[in-house]
Amino acid sequence: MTDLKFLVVDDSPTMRRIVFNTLKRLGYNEIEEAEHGAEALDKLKTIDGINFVVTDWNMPVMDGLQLVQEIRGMAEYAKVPILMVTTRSVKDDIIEAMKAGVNNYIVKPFTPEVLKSKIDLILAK
Amino acid sequence: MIDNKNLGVISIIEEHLKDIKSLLAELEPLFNFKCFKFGGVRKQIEHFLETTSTLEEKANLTHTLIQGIIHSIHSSRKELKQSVDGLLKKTGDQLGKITATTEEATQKIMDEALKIESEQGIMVDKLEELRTATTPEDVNAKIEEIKGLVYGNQDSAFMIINYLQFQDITAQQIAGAYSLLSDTEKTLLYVSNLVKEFDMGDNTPDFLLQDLDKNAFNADAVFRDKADIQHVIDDIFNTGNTELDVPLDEVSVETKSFHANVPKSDDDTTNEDFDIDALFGANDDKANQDDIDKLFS
Repeated sequence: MTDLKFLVVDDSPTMRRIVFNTLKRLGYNEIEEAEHGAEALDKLKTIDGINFVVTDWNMPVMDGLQLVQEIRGMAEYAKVPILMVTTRSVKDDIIEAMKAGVNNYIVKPFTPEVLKSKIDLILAK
Repeated sequence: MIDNKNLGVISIIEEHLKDIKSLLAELEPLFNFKCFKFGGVRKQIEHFLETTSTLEEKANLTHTLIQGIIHSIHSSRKELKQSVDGLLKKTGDQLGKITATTEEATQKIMDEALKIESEQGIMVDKLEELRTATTPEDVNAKIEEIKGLVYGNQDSAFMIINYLQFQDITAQQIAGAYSLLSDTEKTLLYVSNLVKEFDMGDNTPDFLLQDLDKNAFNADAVFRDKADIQHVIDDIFNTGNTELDVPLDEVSVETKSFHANVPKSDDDTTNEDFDIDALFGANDDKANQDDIDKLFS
C-alpha cells in the first residue's frame, strides 16, 4: 500500500484537497498534485515513481480525457492505473473514457468508501 | 388625369414621368417652328424630366432602405425572443441549480455539525460519569464509550470535508451560467449592431464578458447522492457491457418563469401582448417601491 505514489489532477483546489485528505486517511502518504492535464504530464515526466493517477475530466489547458490519451500513448506510462473522478455521468462520456483507457470511473460527489473500493479494485487486477 | 389617392410614391413619380414625356411629344411639332424660341422651354422640360428620373431612383433606394430596416427589426425581434425564451431562461435554471446545490450541501454540513455538537454534550456527561465510576471495569466501559463518541466526531468532521465537494460542483454550474450570460450578451450586441449599422456603419462590437473554455467545466453538474449511477458505471467497467442504461443525473429545480408575453412565432408580428414591464421587475412576487413606501409612511 505504501509504495503507491499518487498524482491527483483537478483544477479545483478544494477537490484536490478532498482527494488528498481521503487518500491520506486511507493510508497513502505519497501524493503529488496538478491543476490540469499539461501540468500532470510535466509532473509525470519530472517526478520519479508516480504509479497511480486520479484525474478530473473538465479542466482548462488540457482536459482529463486528453491526459488519459497522452498517458496511454507514452510507452513508459501506458500501464499506469488511471482513475477518473468527474461530474460527467452521461453514458457516452463514460464509454469514451473507458475507450481512452481509464481503469475505473467515479462520479462526483463521491464518498471515501467509493474511492477506496475503486483503488482496491484497480490494484487487485 | 390619374387619381393619385391610392398610389405609392414611386407609382406617382412614374405617372408624372409618363405625363411629362407625353407633354414633350405633344410639344415636339411646336419646337420645329423657327419663328418661336422654344429651345429654352424644351431644355427646361428635359431638365425637369431628368430631375424627376433621379427622384424615382432615390425613392427606390429609400424603399430598399426601409425594407432593410423592417428586416432588421424582424431579425432583432427574433434574436431578442430567443434570448428571452432560451438563454435567459436557461441562465435562470442554472442559477436555480446553484441555489439548490448550495442549499443541499449546507443542510448536510449543518446536520453533521449538529451531530458533533450533540455528541460532545454526551461526551461531557460520560466524562462526568467517570468521576463516579467505582470499579476498573466501569472506568474502562466509560472510556470505550467516550472513544466511540470521539471516533464518531472524527467521522462527522470528515463527512463535512467530503460535502465540501459541492464547491467544485457549484463552481462548474456558475461557469455554465456565466457562459450563458456571455451568449446572451453576444445576441444583444448583435441586435444592437443591426440597428446601428444604418447610421454608424458595421462596427465590431466589444464583448464585455470573456469567453470561457467550455471544456473546463460541466454546466450540467449536480450535487446529489450518485449511488444509482455509480452502480451502473461499476457494472459497465466490470462486465464491459456498454449497452447498460445509465440513469439521468438531474435534480428538480423550481424556477420562476418570466411573465413577459413574447409573440409565439415568427409569423406572429403583433406586439400587443409584449409586456415590457414584466421583463424589468413588474414581478408579482415583488412589492414595487410604491408599496414599500406606503408601508414605511
